[in-house]
This record gives sequence, C-alpha cells and structure tokens, in this order.
Amino acid sequence: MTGQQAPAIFEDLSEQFKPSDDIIQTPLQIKGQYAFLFYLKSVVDGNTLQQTVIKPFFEMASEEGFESYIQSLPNRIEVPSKEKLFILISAGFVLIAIGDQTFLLDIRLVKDNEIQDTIMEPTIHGPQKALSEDIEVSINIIRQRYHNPSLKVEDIMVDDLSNRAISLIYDGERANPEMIKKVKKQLKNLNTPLFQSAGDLQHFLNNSKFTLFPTSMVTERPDRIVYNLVGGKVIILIDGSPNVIIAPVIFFDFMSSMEDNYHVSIVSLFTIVLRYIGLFTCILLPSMYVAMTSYNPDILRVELALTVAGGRIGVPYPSFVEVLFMLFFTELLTEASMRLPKAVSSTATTVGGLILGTAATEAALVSNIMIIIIAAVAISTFVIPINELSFAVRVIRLFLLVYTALFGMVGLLIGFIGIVMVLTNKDSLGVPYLQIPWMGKSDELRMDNR
Amino acid sequence: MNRFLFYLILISMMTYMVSTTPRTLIEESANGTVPSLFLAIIAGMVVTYIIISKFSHFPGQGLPEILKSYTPKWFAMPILFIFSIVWFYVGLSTLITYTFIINRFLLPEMSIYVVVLTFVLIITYGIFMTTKSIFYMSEIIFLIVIPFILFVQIKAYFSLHLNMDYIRIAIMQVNQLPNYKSFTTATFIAMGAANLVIFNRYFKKLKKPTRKGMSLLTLFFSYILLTTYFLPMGFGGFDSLDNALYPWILTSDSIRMKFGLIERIVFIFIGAFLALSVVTITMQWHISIQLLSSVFYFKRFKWKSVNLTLPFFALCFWAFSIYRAKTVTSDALYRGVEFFDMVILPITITLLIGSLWLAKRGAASKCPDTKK
Repeated sequence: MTGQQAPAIFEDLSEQFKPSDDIIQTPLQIKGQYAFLFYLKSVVDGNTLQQTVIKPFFEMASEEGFESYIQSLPNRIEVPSKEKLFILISAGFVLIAIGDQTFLLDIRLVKDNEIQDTIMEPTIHGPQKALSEDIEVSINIIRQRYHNPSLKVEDIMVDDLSNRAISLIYDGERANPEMIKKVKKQLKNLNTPLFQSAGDLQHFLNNSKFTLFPTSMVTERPDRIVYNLVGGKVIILIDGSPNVIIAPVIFFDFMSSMEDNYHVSIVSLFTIVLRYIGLFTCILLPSMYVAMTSYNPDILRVELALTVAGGRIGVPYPSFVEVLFMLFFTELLTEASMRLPKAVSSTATTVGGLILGTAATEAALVSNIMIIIIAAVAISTFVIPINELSFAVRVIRLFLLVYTALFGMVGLLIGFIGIVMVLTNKDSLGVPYLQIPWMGKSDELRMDNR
Repeated sequence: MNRFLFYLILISMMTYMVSTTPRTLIEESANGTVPSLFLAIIAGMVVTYIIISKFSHFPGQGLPEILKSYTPKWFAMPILFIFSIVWFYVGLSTLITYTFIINRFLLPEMSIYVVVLTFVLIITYGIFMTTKSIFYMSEIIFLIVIPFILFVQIKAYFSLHLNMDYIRIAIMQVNQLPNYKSFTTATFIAMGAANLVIFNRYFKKLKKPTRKGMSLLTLFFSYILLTTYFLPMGFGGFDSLDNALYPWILTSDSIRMKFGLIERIVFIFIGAFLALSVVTITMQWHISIQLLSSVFYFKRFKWKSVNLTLPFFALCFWAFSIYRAKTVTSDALYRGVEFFDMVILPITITLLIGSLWLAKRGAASKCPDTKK
C-alpha cells in the first residue's frame, strides 16, 4: 500500500472497539485519491452509505471535490471530543478522513422507528398515534405539531453506561429559565449506572429515596406534550423509550385526561367530577367500611347499619381483616391481568372474579356488601387517568386502612388530613404539588410574593 | 388582603365554636354576655387590625427574626420563650378538648392515650412542614369542611325545633353590664391574627388591612360569634343549657337528616370541626416549635447530619400532651382555659403588640435614613 496512512484517531478507535467483529475500517482509493472510513457495520445503514459516500467518491474528479461534497452533506456534524466520538460511532455515525480532514456523518440504521398506537392513555376523540421508540422520530412528531421557532431542542449528555441520547424540549418563551436550569442540573447529577426508559429516569429524577406520589409525569401522548409545552413545562425525551417525561407537574395534572379538552364543556365537567368522586371513593371507601362496621355503626342510619351488620353475620373475623383480605386479592388480580399474556389474562380475571365474588361470600369469608365495596373501589381506581397516580392511590389507601383500623372513625378523618398534608408538603422541582389554583397556576406562584 | 390571612383567622375562629367558648359564654348568660359579645367584636377587630398592621412593617419576617435584629437579647429571648409556651398551651388545650369530645361522643371505649396518639402522629408530621405547605393544607381542609358546616348551620337555622323565644330571652339580657370573663373568652377566638408571629414569614408583601378586608372579617366574626352563642340557646333554652358541657354538640344532635345516609347530623358536625381542629393545632404547634427552636437550638445535637433539636421538642410535646390528657379532668380543663382567657391572653397580646412596637422603634433608630 502506497501513499497515505489512516489518521492516528483511527488506530485509537479500532483499539477501543476491539475485538468486535462488526467494526469496518476501509480505505477508499482511486488514482491517488484516498479516503478512510470507520464505522460499525451493524448500526450503519449500508445502502445510504453506498449511495451518499462510496459511490460519489469514485465519481469525483478530485480529492478536494469529494471533500467539499462531504462537507455539504446535510447529515454531517462537527467532530467532537474523543470520548463523545466513541459514543457517536457506536450509535451509528461514520467517520471519514480525507487528507488531513475528518468528518462525521450520521448514517444511522434505526429499526424501531415506527410510530406506536396510544396504549396507556387512550382517548376517543384525540390523536390515536403516540411517539416512537426512536428519539429522532419522536422529536419529529413533536415538532410537526408545534411549528414555532421558540421550540428548543437541547441534547444532554448524562453519565450512564448506555450513553443514550437524551433531549430536552421546551418552549423558550414560555418555560421558566430557572426551571430549565434545575432540570439540567438534576439530569447532570444523576448517579446511576443505567437507565432504560422514561419511567426509569423519572424514578431517579425524584431525588429522594422513598417517594410514593410521582413528581414528574410519564406520557406517550403527543397532544399532552404539546399542551404542556404551551404551559411552559419541560419535556425530557430519552432514546429507546416511547414515553417522555414532563416536569414539573402538580397533582391536578394527574387527574386530567386529554379528553377533557375535546368534549363539550358540561360533559367534560361531568367526567371531571366523576373522576374526583372516583378518587375519593377508592381512597376512602375501604377504610370507611372498617370504621362504620367496627367502630361507629351508629353513624349510619339504622336501617343501613342493620343491613351492613346483617351481611356480616357468619364472617369469622373483624372487618379490617375482611377488607385487607379482599383488597389483597383484587390487587393480585389487577397485577396478574396486567402482567399475563392477553390470552391468559381474561381467564385469570374470570376465575379470580368468580372465586372472589361468589364463592367467598358463600363460604361466609366475606360479606356481600364487602364484595360491592371492593368492586366499586377496583373500578374507581381505573377511573384515574394517569396510571402512576392510580398506583400511588392503591398504596396510600392501605396506609389509610391501617390508620383507620387502629384509630377508628377519627383515624379515618385525621389520616385523610395526613394524606393532604403529605401532598401539600411535596413539590415538583420547586412547584408546590397540591394547592388550590384559584387564579391560574402562574398567578398562584406569584402570590408568594404578595 | 391575602386570602391565606383570612384562612388563618377564620380557621382559629371556627375551631373554638364547638369547644370551650360556647360553654363559658352560656355559663355567664345571665350576667351580661350579650354586651360583652359586642364589645368583643370591636376589641377583637381592633386588635386584629393592630397586629396585622404592625406586622406589615416587617415583611417576610417572623417574630424571632424581628426581635433578634431590633431588640436586645435579654428582652427577645424570654419573650420568645414565653410565647412558645403560650402557643403550646393553646394547642394542647384544643387537643385535649377535642380528645374529650371524641372520647365522649364518638369512641367512648377507646383509651385516651390512643385518641391523643391519633392526633399527634399526624400533627407531628404537620408541624414539620414548611409554613407555605401548612397554608396550602389549611386552605384545602377549610374548603372541604366549610360546606358541611354551612349545611349544618343552615339546617339549624331553618329547623322547626329552633325556638326563637329562647333567643329573644337571651337578647333581652343586653341591658346588663358586660362581664370580663365572657369578654375575654369571646375575644380569644378572634386572635387568629396573632399566629402571624411565625406565619408572617410567608407574607412577603403584607399590607395594612384594607377597609374591605376588615369589614368582611368583622362580618364573619360577628356571624360566628353570634351563632356560637345564640344558636344553642334557641335549641336548648336559656336556663337549661347551663349544665351542658358541649352546648353545640347537643344543638347539632337535635337536628336530624330524615332521608340522609347519615341520620344524625352531629357526626358530620364533629367530623368537620375535628378536621379544623387538626389544622389549628398543627398551626399552633408549628408556631410553638419554631419559636422554641429560635430560643434553644442545639447545634451539636445530631444524628447523621440530621439535627435532632426539633424532633426532641416534638417528643416533649408528645410526652406532655399524653400526660396532660390523662391527668386533667374536664372541669380542670375549663378552669385552665378560663384562666388562660382572662389572664394570659391579655398579657400575651399586650406583650406581642408592645414588643412589635419596640422592634419598630429599634428598627427606626437602627437605620434612621429609611424612616419616613
């Protein structure tokens, strides 16, 4: 081989990637013109590489011509520092050396870029397509729904092992710069070896060891993303996850469905009221049953109290055991139907529902009214539109149940105040988590200075 | 005026509607309670006005910061310490009153220890929250509770069993000289503004009370005070209510919801006021513990970088309240509250206004340029 040698950086690269078999380091050579390519075969789109780099090389008259051709390609980016270069090469970038110059081209091969259907938050009227697992496609979807130069997309490098691309998206004119700084700082300070998805990242963003209520939201809906962008929030995208993180969020965000915006006002008011009743039902009802049967049956009107007491004839243990027992099995059922393959899950729920519903009452293990209550609670848990909150509610009602079992009606009441306390004491990146927004959220925050 | 200031004042007004206040007022019904009530409305509002406008000179500062920077240390420290004990005592008497109510009407079989524990477990979490969070919490609880309370009162006012003649008899006592006990008792419930000693930290731009705000507040206060006194009269009768320990609970138990899921309205009533009382105690003990920690703060008292001063104080609160709830009798509790209202309350208010006045003079002399 005469003429030129590959630049020193190529040696470093191949040192670094050895002994992978999919590294390709080839010289291109024709009539004294030289170019060197370095890439990973498995993540680079071979066709595009052939079309845009290799073929033109042999058609060009001179090295300079090829150089300026490469220079003008739309997918060329500046060659970054060495560490970042390694990451980019492993993500599917192609390093080209012509003469003394090196160029980096984005010729990634992404197989998971199809747009998914909305699964977690389905709506009737809203858009039916969600984001994609590829970050570029997701950004494309968001940009195509928000044509505004103030929409900023920033790439963030995070110290974890997988070196996934993470992007911040926000509306530069609406988002609070302090908030953006805070989010960036949070992302920089993550010290976790690996995170795989938006849910994962959100867990680490929460910044404390024990959290129950989510302080950032994971969503898949492009319309929710745009809605929140307009509201001045920061969106975090992570490559390989079809979900994004929205921060900061408050409690009421979790109780709103995008469908609220698509209905007639009275109808959406009705559904919102319904949802809050559902929330209170699933938190309070099990504990209320315990309080009303074991501690203060005199609170209910006499007929009702007698019916409840009559239903419990033959049940061999106190009411809180009954409630715990039933709650435990419904939680198991919910969990099972979520994890099992679809074909089996319907069997599981049918069998479980039958056993719990009919057989348990016939065996006098639980009262009839208990079954109704448990069913009501299970249904109303599903009314909560965002899944994370409904998980949190499922846990918090157990705490309330224990407090009520210990302290009776008073325990129920004060325990509920305790839940309110926990929620108001929380904040999501400095924004109070639960407060009554009388005057719109931004005015409410300004209230602090009044 | 800021809406949180209203909550601060209204919640402490309403908490005492059920507990000790009505009994003291009714006890003295033949000795000039009615004129005392009117005097109390004036006095309460004047004191509220003075306290708020004094605090408006120190935006965003609680009493500890104000006193420490503008008055000598030998003056500031005892005052803060006395105040922290006063606020603890107020919270404690509220706690014990409600413990007794629960023990009597809701859970007669439960031990007093357990009832107190029900409260203090949650309240302890509450007093460690930030001042801001306490405001948000109180707002939410207030808004949840107020419909129930209004419902009960509207139902009471329209009840067939409300005998207007009894109320008229009570009003007839207007021509007597006011008595001191009723006066201070009635004034006490308007003293929510004194909670600003710590809660002023939240108000970064507290202004002097506006005319609109004050007249609204006067309206609320008059309504609450007059309802507190006259509504039980209308149900229980002028003469016969003297022996009732909790006149308001008897009153609400006279009302029945014929078609309701809950037939006896007293449970809704107790529940609503119970929630308010939890908020009040949380506020009062929050103030107390903050004042206390401004006097004693043990820097070395640590466990793994967590300073244990505040938890230690909270533990003292627990121990003392459980001990007190067990040992005190109903009667002693009343005497204690009466003594507080008649002696300690005026002293406290005088001290508070006096020290704020001193601090303002201190502030003026420290930086004479800014004085205008």
